[in-house]
Amino acid sequence: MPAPDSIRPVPVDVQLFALAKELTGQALIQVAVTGEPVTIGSLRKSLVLQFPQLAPLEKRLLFAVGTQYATDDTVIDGRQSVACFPPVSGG
Amino acid sequence: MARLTEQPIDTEELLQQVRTPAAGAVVLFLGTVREFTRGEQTVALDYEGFAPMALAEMERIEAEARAKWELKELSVVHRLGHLELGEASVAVAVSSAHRAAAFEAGQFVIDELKVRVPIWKKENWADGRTEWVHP
Repeated sequence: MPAPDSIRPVPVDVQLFALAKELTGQALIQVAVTGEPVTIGSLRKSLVLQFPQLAPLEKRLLFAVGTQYATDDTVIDGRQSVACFPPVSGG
Repeated sequence: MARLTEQPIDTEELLQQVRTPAAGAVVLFLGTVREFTRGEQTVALDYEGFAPMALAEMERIEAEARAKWELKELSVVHRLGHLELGEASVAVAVSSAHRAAAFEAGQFVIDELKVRVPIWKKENWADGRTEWVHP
């Protein structure tokens, strides 16, 4: 019997910035995320498992879907544009 | 109006954008590259931004300021790339009929920008180290 969709990992493309980009050496990564539903919170967990260089930043990483901040409860489906970055320091 | 630029910020142009006969007050705030931070010496800063979201967030902050205060014009610009000591990294210009609104809105815009807009600075320390600033 095929696995239900809910436990199949969803590939999510994530744009990285600043220290997150520097630590991975990549501006765009793909993370396989499992969850029912798939949320930013589950992406955060999968991200640091698959990119352990980011583990020291885990709790402080911020996420955006499109051009809006997202929270750990935000549901994603792998089709939106997702960005991940450390706390901001402009100005 | 919100803008990102890799060129030096033209403060005269920014002031012209907000000056209007309807205003009795114009406030200009500049954030500039400071040499010493907690005793450590900086020689330059590099700014990186997530441009589409940075602009969207700056526009949301502008809309919030316009809803809170009666403003005539508001213009905010952030520079990206490599900046030397003393150069302006960010500028906020606000005009209003009376000064209180322009001062308060100007402070609001820069305070919100610093906590919300996805832009990051990297310190180039005098001893050759570089370090991303993540408060």
